[in-house]
Amino acid sequence: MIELLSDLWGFMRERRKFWLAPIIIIAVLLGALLVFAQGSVVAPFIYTLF
Amino acid sequence: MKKALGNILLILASIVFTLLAAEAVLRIVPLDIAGSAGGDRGYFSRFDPELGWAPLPSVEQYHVGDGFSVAVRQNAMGLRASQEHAFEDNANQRRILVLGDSYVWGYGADQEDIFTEPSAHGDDNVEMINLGVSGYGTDQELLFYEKLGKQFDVNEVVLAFTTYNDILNNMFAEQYGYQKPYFTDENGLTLHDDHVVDRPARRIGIWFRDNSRVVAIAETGFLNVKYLWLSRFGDDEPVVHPRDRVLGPGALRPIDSQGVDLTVQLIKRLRDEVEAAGADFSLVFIPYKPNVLALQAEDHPLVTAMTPALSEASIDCYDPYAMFVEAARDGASPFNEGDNHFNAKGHEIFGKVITDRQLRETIGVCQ
Repeated sequence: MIELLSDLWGFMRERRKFWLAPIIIIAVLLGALLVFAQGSVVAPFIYTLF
Repeated sequence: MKKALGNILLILASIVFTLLAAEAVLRIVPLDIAGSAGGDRGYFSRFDPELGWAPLPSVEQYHVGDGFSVAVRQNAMGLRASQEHAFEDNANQRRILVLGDSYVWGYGADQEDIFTEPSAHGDDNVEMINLGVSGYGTDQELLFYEKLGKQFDVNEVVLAFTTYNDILNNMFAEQYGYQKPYFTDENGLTLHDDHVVDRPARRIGIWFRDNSRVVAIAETGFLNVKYLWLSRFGDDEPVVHPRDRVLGPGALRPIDSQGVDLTVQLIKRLRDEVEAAGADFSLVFIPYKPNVLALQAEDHPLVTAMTPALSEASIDCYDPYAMFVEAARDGASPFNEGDNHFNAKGHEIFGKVITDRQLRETIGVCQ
């Protein structure tokens, strides 16, 4: 995992493609949040407040 | 300098592009959580300086939520009804106006199944007027009655009371991310509503929260992570949302008890105004789902906590809890699976309680 991140960072630095970083970070972050959001225990809390 | 600026713009464009792409994907992929993007208040209510939020008039939409997709119709007054209601009693029916929150509004229930609809209660001699608005506490219900409800010529006003959150709703200036009016009780009720303002930035934030699936997933995901963290490392009791706990007698949180007096004062004022308008007033408790499904002997402990003060104020109050337990015992859950609101069965039972006075007299809980 660390190797993959290191490779990605090396690629971005070598090719000066730092604009790729937000895409990767947001995709990973959203993916993780999606895992936590599914089967949510708090989704009803958010929307049913009512 | 130019190059650095160019890089920053490129990175910003990359962020915007990724978020838009994620939003597009989440709208195509049928994920459960994506379906819950869009709170009912976002779709069916608008900002109101006196009420915090008020129902949008003339709405015909589907409400997609956690495990349901249901038809919603709000009439020209914004009331969830398949028909228009005149202020005057033209048909000479028994007219009952029902105040409440999302239970009365019919969260997760199809239009035709809501207990205030003629198709659901089936009593041709009764016209029910649904003043339920999602998220309202007793304070907003009182103000909504003063603003709109009291213009209706009705025989009876019923307040449907949600034990697990109405008292809490009454205690705060903001609920569910929306500002709301509230009362304090120091030698009489004092209304506070100067803080209820429609700030553009806030409106944009709420729009995103209600309409963006990326934001919905981020919010839900972060909350879940927080709950998991507290469950593992918090020093309190295990984290279970209060509305999901089975609550035995006396299992009250201190914060709930604090709001009982204020809430009873609000109910008394509502009762006085209803009676001054020439109608009867009564309160019906909404049975608490976790206790019903666990076939507990008693409803939410706040029912017991509130009834002495309600009795003292001579307020008629009723609790159809035993009827709901009976349905659950027979294998017909009266609640939505994914939330605590009534399903069609729950609306059927609640409708009977509202329309059938004799039946209601058998479930009185106030002396």
